[in-house]
Amino acid sequence: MAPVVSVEGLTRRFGAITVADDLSFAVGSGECLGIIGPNGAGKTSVFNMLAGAIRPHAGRIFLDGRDITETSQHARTLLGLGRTYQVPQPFGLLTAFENVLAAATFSRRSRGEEAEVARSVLVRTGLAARADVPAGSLPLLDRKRLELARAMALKPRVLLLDEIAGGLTEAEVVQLVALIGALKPDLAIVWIEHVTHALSAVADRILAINFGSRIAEGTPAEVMAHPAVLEVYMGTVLDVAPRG
Amino acid sequence: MTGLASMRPTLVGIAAAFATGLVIATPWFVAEGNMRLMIEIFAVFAFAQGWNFLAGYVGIMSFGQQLFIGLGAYFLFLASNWTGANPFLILPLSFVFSALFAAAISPFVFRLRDAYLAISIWVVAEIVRLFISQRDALGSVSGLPLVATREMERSLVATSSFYYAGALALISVFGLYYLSISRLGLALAAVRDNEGTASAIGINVWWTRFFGFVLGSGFTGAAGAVYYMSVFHVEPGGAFDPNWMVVMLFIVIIGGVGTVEGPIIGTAIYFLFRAWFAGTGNLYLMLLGSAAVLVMLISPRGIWGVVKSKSGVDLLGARHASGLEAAAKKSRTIS
Repeated sequence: MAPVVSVEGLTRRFGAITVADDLSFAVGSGECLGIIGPNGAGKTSVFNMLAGAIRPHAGRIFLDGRDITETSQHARTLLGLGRTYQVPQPFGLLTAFENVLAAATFSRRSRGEEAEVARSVLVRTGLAARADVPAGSLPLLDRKRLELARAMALKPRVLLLDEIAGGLTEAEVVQLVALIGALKPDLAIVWIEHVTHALSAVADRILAINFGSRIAEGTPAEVMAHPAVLEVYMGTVLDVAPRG
Repeated sequence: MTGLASMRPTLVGIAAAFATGLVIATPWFVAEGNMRLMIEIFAVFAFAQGWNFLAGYVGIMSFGQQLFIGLGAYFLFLASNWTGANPFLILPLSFVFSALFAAAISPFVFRLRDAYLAISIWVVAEIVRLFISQRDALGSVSGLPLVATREMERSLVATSSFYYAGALALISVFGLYYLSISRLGLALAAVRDNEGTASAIGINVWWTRFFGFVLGSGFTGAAGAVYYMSVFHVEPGGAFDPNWMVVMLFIVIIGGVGTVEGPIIGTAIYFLFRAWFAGTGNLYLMLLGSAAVLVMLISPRGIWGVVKSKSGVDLLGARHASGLEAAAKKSRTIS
């Protein structure tokens, strides 16, 4: 099956720091690719390049086989890319409902039923009771929910999730996993996450990166057991492997 | 509450129709002198609302909107004097001219952000003021008279000017309300609150800001034309005076930026202050400044911001009610 979104040779540097070094991956519809890596590994930069917020220095990005490397962020959204932000970035003076309504309106994928889409997304993400509260005065947890709600309201074909489970309670992670699992059949999902058990529950494959380079890729079980991944997360392999 | 909220556009429509009727009827009941004062009040209110639109709805802070007051006025005077055209007929072109000028400088000033953008428009205003001051064809420093109105009947001039000023005031209130609840208003609010997220939901941020800036500046230009048309004379020192900016800031800040109602209150306070204290010279300006500082210290969102948050009354705010909270509350009380 042809991938919905793919990148080839993605490279980006900030001064001396390389945040993406010749990265390539592809995600098909109904598939979820997880990206893990320690802080500063370049995960969010990869995301910003996918979403169009920053440009790569080398490499190409394709959506449905179409080269979108030079396409602006808002145009990528119109083509079907939807993202969340690790640190919630709501429209602070607008209510939760208006935040989601704006997403449903300007992605142009819900013509004529923007308000219905916005309402149903708020219900699904558990924000119905806070719908008319200005987003800027929502507690952090609700602002994280709003990130997902806003991305869902875009009706994207590719959903980019940036540490959406961070800071949630265990029960909320279970709900979140169920919600993303329900969305998955119609979407290609790229999900950056530190909460690895949540990621493992949904992701078909995981890509582990460090200093912008791929260190491992495979099924969640394979990647979590990969020596290079263990080394990055736990210190040296020798520390962990004998006990394991 | 929800019922009232959903009826609001209709209620505002009724209020708009009533206010329009009031403006139309005014020349039959009000003496010419008072009408002249009302023209000034409406025009100054429109200046303030134009700036409020940019700062509070588009998210563009400009310290140079006197540029468009002057441009609108000069366009009207020059176009009328050169062609002999009736200024009342060509007044809408002042909007077009000011809007085009705003469009022309956008690619340059939009390269700057925040305070730099604010100052850059002021710089453009000073350049245009100096340019006009040094050209005899444009009236130089002593300015221009409006020739065409000399032969017109005084009461006709007053009535026509009043209707234009009234239209500005009505647009400043009801036009701003309907714009803010429209699709464009939602896009402007999104860009104002977070440009990155706005872009991520499919909004073209640059064009949205551009459109807002052009619209707001064009409106200020039209208001400038009305103001100077009603006094029959324009000179660069007055039309491009940075003090216009001070008046706009005062009105919007003490009333409440980003609200339709705030500048109405601000304009009333400004003209009351002027009526009571204008004779006191410098003390008057100190009073204006002190009042603005006092309001900012107590409430950065202005008088209407306090009223709105304390009372929960939101007459003309750009709110899209979800209808979800009421439903959620209802189901909670049932279960």
